[in-house]
Amino acid sequence: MAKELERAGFPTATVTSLAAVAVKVGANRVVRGDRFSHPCGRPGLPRAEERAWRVELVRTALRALATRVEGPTVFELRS
Amino acid sequence: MRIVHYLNQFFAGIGGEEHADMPPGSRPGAVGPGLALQKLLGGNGEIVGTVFCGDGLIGDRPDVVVPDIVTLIDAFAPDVVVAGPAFGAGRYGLGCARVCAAVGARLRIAALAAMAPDNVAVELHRREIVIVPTTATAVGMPGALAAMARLALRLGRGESLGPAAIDGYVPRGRRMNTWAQASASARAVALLQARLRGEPFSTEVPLPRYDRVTPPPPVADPARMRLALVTECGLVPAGNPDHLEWVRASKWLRYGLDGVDDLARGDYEVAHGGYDAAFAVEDPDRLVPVDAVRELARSGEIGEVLDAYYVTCGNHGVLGQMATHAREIAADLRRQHVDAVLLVAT
Amino acid sequence: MHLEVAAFPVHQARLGAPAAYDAGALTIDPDIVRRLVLDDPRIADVQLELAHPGESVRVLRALDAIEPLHKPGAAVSAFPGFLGPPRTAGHGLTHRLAGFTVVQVTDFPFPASGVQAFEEGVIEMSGPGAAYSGCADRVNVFLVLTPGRAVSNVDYDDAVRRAALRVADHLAALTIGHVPEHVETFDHGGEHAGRHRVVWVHQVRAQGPMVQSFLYGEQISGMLPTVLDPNELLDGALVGANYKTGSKTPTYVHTRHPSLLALSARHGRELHVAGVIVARGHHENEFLKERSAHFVAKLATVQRADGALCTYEATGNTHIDFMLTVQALERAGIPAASVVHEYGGPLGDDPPLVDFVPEAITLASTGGIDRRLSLPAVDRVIGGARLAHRGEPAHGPLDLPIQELFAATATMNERGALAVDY
Repeated sequence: MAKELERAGFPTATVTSLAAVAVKVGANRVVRGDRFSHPCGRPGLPRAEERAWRVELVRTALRALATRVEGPTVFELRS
Repeated sequence: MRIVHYLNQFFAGIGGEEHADMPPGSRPGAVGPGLALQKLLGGNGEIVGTVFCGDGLIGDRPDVVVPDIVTLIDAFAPDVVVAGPAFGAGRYGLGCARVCAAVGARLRIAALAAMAPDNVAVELHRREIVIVPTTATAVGMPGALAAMARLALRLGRGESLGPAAIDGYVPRGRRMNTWAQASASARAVALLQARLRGEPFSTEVPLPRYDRVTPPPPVADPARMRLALVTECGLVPAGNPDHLEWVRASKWLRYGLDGVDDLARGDYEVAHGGYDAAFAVEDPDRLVPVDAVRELARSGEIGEVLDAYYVTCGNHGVLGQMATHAREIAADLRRQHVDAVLLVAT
Repeated sequence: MHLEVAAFPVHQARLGAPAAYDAGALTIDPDIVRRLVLDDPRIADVQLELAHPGESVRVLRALDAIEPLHKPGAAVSAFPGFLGPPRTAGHGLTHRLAGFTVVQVTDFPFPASGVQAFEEGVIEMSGPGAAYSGCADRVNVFLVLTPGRAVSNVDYDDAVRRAALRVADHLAALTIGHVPEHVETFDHGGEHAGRHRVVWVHQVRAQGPMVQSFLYGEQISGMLPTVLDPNELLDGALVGANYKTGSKTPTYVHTRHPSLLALSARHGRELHVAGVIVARGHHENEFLKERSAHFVAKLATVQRADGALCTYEATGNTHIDFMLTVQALERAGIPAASVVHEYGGPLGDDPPLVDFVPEAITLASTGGIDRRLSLPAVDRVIGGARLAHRGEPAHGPLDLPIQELFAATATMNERGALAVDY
């Protein structure tokens, strides 16, 4: 989906557990999420910490959207 | 069987590059390589006419020129049209391909073009028309003409073609099921042994190439953007009221987030058969991070969040259909003046 | 390890007494089967149905299909870990009811969603679907089960698997004292003497309940890749419990996999079989996928493999696990030839592969699984009136993609289906 949205002109931050695949397929702004069944979650953490992690994940997506890229690029959460 | 042959200005014997803008013309009977082609056809088919045009002209003004060429071809009332061989020549290949495509579309007559497999016209047109592969240069003219004759007669008789590798044409982008004598495992063992012995081998599944998309320019200031949430993870309201399928989804859906700050347990479920849904059911923000984007909107780091999210299911999705869904979603996003997307993918 | 497999083919089965095997005819005593199945209170009832190849029969809600095996008087049992202690099998003598399967047909007692939900895989005994359907070319007894006092779907699944294995064991044991039609010898020892050493990499589904495989009686979700002697699979060390449509590998394929047969037939002649590496797929993230892929390549290196035959079960993100494994093998200097099923959409004009690596240059195809089939109305339906996951009436004509037939991908491998460019 990412490439079609990008083709339509929308800067798109793709959050996925399979960042390497997203890069190979050609999505340009890729954010590495957590596991396949909860890419925007970390169930092992206490609620409040998980929520804070998720906010950081979305901040990473914002950073990706605001960054000029030349091709598929992976953005990691800053720990 | 009546055959019309399309050539460029050079093979029609008019001249070289200086005549590349030559307008379309025609002559009864065979011309240039058509003479050798006629010998190969024998009594089974007759080249009743030859149509030609300058490479440059058909390259620059196809919209004007191709219809004229089709009219000239139609005047000979052919059963089948052959074009080329263009070998590696790009403009000539494109000219042949466009003529064949137009003949098929407008006259509903079978047509084939001949050119080298890496001619630029091949990737653009192989799905639309039948292309006979040739060598890169005219050194392979005899073989090219023989292949053209063979396939022209079959197409002219209205025969459907078998597999590309057997019937000798460039694959047209469809793969169909058939049966071999041996199991796939046994055939894989045979391929492996050929590789280990250094013998030639032929993979049964050629690898695709992914196209690149130019990255859209970045968002100038996220604090002023309108952001939309899209997901392929199949998150839908509890009860899946619109019956999103959890394999090979046939649709995409839009669900409101008006007044929703946080996706609540029990309000959503997962229509996706490919992963354990328990974590997402417990906290749906783990699939669509509404709570986080709301917090960042309140803090001013995101300008505005669209009051709905978009969902489809990426499980065993038919790729062409998923691309269509994405285009339709994009059109919807455009109508709502969305600036950027956060996509959660599987 | 030296194993002799005595084949007792079944051409005809009927219900009656006394239970017996006689020159291709199997008589199944329903009372004995009921007793064996209902010994477990987690199952409330069982009805028996039979189907032979070519009959106008459609079967729904089929879980696993098992070809009965029995090791007469042996210290170790067939299906070790279930029918006996988890001791190494694959040696001695095994009796096999060839061309016959025991199939469980049942709903699960509790609701399930996501990956744990059952996905229909229809068995078609005749018509255009039969060529792609598991069980269609063999005689089958269907145990149509009603759940009893099971506390969860996982609990019921355990009961259902053990019941079917008990029945399979009983039926195979009916061959004791009879003369087999033929005996095969499986022995992958000996010196490799300059022959190419080839491992078979067998990636199976083990994501969790309902999408699981069992090795020596224990589920393998947490398992790192491991090495087995091929004979262990022939004796039922690996049992399938994956209930997702056409991409599941039933136990009767694990015990007679076309990869094992293809390699074994060439052992000692053109090549030397250097073991089977069993690995799970569908790892939850890239880290675990990569870890498993490299483990497979390391084991293949330890086995001194010159080449690898690679197969995998199921679809979805497990393609990635598989392709990473192929890549790791190739980069470790071990050429890999792989069996892959293709997509391509209903018309075959979509890309055939969901994921691939540039190193995957040696592929054999089992055909496109999302081409569609028009199936006719049938005389008899076993396992319910409507399809489990879509609710269409089952008696009438159906329009289905190939991948909604039971064990379609494994069947297409066996039967030689492939896709070619048009």
